[in-house]
Amino acid sequence: MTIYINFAELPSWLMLAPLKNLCAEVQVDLAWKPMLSSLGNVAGSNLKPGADDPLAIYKARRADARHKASKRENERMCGMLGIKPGQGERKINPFYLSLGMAWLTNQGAELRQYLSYVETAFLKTFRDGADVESLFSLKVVLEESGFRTAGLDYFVENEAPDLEAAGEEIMDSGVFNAPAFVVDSEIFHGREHLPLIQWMLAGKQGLPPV
Amino acid sequence: MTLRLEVYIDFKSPYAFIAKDATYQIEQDFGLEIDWYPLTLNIGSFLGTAKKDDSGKVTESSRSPRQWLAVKYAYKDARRYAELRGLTLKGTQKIWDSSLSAIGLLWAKRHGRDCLKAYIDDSYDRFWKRELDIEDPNVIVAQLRASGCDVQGFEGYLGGEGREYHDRLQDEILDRGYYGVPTYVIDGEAYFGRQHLPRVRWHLQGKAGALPDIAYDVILRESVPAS
Repeated sequence: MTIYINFAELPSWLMLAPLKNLCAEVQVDLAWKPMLSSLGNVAGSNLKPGADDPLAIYKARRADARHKASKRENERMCGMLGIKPGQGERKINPFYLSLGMAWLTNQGAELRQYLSYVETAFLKTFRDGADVESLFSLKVVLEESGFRTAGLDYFVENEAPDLEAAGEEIMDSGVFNAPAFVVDSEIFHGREHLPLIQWMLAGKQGLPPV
Repeated sequence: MTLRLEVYIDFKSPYAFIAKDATYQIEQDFGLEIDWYPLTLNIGSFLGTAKKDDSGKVTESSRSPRQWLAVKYAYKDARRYAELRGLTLKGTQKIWDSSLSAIGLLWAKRHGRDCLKAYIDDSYDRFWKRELDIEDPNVIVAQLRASGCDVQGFEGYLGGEGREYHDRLQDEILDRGYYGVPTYVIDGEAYFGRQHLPRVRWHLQGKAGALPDIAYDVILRESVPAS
């Protein structure tokens, strides 16, 4: 199973708990891929400003409703994660944290190391409000998660993947939001699918969660 | 205190279709009667418009590549869960105006829970088999009649009081902050999407313990196991 994660978004953080449960129940090989951006909810992307749009009032009302719902969901997510809503609204560039994930992959990290790194990265970003947008801060996150940093500078300078280009490839492959999961070429957007994925990986025994 | 569960649906939404039975299961488990409302989506306003011919070829489209990506994924996603349940979910060939079927729902509500349930079930099933033209008033009348509703006066309601109520309701619904289907509302708290059903159950159980996370984790008692 390939997991796509965006360090700038809370849903990828919330995915960790059910993912750990899944890994405790079924044997699965995981590949981790960072995403620098997500398509998000495209609902609303057809907004056309201008007085000549007959749907302008509807669109404005709907956009307002979406905003209210999004704010409420942010409050719920933050409550689950033990942070304040304002902390959850932080905007970051996930480039260096994504680079850190590529480093773990380069170093052949184990599952527990990925989990530790991802958890630490999210805590530093949203709970601590720490700098996570520099190579120096990446080293701090790696060290705090217990992962080695020797050779990181060389990796970043000479071997790191082009994350922007990789992001385009990811989007072209049909993965547009994080967290996402690809199991046997089947794409799942959102942690809500993990019960079904677990059912699939466990051999589709019994009634499926739907 | 008896809690009231409001559920907002649109017959042209595949996600609302596959949520229907899990929603009924909540009604049964908690011994409540859901208050159903139509939330008629103007899909073209936020996902662009498109039409397909009988072969599935796109003949008209105002969608961006990203909108297509999202739309195609949504149908694929809904279909995989539908298939696990033995439901037929054929992709639509155009964006339907589902307001007539929504007004039919409001009419069916007046005739009791059994009529309403029959109307919802049959409309969903037949629409997603491409057997129902929900833009044809005569089809809506036939659906209501087949569901056991008295249709005397419906024609006038459809073009008058029912239409006015429906249109006013759509504005009110958006102003309350509900914008997609299925939306579940308990005591003013809204949960959008069937992935929120664990939270709906938690809320109905008195919010004991921590808020559960979203998940498609409902085991339907009448589920059809995958082959």
